[in-house]
Amino acid sequence: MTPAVESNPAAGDIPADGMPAAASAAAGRDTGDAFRAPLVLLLPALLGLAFLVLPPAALLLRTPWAQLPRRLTAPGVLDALWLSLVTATLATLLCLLLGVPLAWLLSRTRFPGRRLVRALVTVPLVLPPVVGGVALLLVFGRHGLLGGWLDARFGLTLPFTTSAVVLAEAFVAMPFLVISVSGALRAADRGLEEAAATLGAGRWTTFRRVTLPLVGPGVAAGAVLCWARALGEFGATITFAGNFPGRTQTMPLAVYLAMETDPQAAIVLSVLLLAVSVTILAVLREKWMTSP
Amino acid sequence: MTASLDARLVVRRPGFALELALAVAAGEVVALLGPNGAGKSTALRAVAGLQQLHDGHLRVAGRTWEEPVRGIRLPAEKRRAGLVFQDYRLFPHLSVRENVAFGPRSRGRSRREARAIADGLLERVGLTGLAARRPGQLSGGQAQRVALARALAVAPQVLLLDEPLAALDAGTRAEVRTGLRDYLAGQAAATLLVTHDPLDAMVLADRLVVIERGRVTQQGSPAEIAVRPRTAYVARLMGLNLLRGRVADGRLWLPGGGGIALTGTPESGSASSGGAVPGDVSSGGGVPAACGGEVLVAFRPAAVRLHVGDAPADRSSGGAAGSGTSALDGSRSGWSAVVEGVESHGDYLRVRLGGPIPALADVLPAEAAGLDLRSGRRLHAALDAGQLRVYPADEPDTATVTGPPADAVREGLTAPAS
Repeated sequence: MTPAVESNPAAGDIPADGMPAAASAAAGRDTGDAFRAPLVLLLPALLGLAFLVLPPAALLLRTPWAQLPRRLTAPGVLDALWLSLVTATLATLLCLLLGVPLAWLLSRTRFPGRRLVRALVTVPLVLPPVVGGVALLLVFGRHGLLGGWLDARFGLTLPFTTSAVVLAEAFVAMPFLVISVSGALRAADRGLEEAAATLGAGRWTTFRRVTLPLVGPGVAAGAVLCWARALGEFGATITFAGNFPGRTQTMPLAVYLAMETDPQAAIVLSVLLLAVSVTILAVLREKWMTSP
Repeated sequence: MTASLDARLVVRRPGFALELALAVAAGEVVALLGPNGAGKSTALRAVAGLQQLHDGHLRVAGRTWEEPVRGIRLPAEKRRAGLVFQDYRLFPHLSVRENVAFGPRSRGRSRREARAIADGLLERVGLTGLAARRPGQLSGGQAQRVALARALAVAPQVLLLDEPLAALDAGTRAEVRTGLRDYLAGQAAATLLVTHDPLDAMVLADRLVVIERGRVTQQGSPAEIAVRPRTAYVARLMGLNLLRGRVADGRLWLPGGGGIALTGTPESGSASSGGAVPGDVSSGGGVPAACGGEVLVAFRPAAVRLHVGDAPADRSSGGAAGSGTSALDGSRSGWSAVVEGVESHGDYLRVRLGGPIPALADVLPAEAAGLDLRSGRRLHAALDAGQLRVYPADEPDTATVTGPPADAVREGLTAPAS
């Protein structure tokens, strides 16, 4: 995110180096410094931009704005929205609680097989979410690795509950947090932790008073990514938690269901989801990510 | 031993080994002086607990902080050592006051007590007005003083300073150096200072320990080291030429095979040349002809005189250093030298000489015109015997440069300085 923004001013200079002086001068004269880019790069770049921007734009263009108030207050819509926001937030909290210590472990300690563990952490990132849902069932299902024990011992049944939605979202989203935070930890100045140690701070005090404040922006960025991923989660959720309105039917599931029966409703739900996620990301970005 | 810090620090890494015996009394300031990569900072980190010892021991005020043989290792946070890092390492997210209060807070003081300690120290270093600032808003000199205050806030038994002035620009450096000397003078802790700058070491320390490639090569008072360097590195730092030879028959014989006539007593002759040398060593030994062993010869570059033309005796030998023939003409105290480079030092030129006796020679610009100082130019060099300082190559209280280093460290250097 931020690096991409920062590299933009430099991007204008790079192509000029590779071009013959005359061509670069001509490009500079005709279109100004900002557009000194060879056509081979410019054309696919613009196509890519259009490809990313057009679909959301189409969504806005085709929205039945007049019906919006009535559609939004239709039964089930606000329930699904509320469920989505609550589960995504809970999943993010769960990821923070488990993911930050995991990231610390991966970047600050040495143990045999650490590289393997680091690779395993990213598996949910490349795993198709539906497969993730099946895998979760095999662990937490009634006859799963832990599910049977949880059921017998605590009478706890997770699949097809709101808790299952949170677990499914956390499973898929946690790698984003771990990668973001361990990147921040690796970039953070180890020297400051050494300084804290010489001043009498143990590892926990050092983590709490020095390391965590230093990687704060990284944690915030990771949490935002994590939350956005959790909000949009579909495959693992529908597999592991099912599609029960009011209990496990989050917005993406509601959109999918509506698409089969009432496409207009699907568009309205999609616009709502788009608006909510963009708004929250914008607010968080303003609050956390501008101050390093 | 009443020394507050008593240690033999042994750290081994591929291609590098540090073996350093140290004794620092409470209130004493000892400077570790040495070239880059000599192991100075490693030694400091070992005392602070940031670098594990592989052998040896570390005792502070009678308590063992680390001794691998006995399996003792006190973690860094349990040692009462204040370390001022070369790059200060102030916490960027905490105010100046919170930075200084960090140590007392971490060691269990209440927030109010820690603040009081911090405010007291900030007043001592003259930064009361900046207590609410963030480190990013400080100048280099101010940040250095905050780092010092932060290290002192834990009331350290050992104060460690890693190149405390290296990160400062020349202007603030002199000012901070003076201030630092005042703070250190009033210190109860055993202070260990690492530097590669001889001036910092001279001004700040009571005693210097020179380390090269992980071993002590010389130690003593600043004045002693400035006047009687024992290694090429120390001689270069002090701006002196250093040769090794033997004294016999009233002559100084150098490895090249030639001899220089010694007239009078070279030690006393140092008074005439010692204007720029801090302190004076009156060993009372005079010409150490009596000792008969190896001697070191130190002389300032200004003591070398250059003339056009070869030394007469050298023509036949062609200046071949290893041929066994004399490179020196005893009667004229000179040799044939080759110009390797010239640097301008303001009001004089410093000439680097190669040949049988590598040396530096200072030449006035007026003389230089007649010498034609091209690289590769062959000149006749002569020494003013009255400006030579000759002293035994091995002294009982100093590391023998020729002896096995480990023995030198173990036997020679644990003795405290007088």
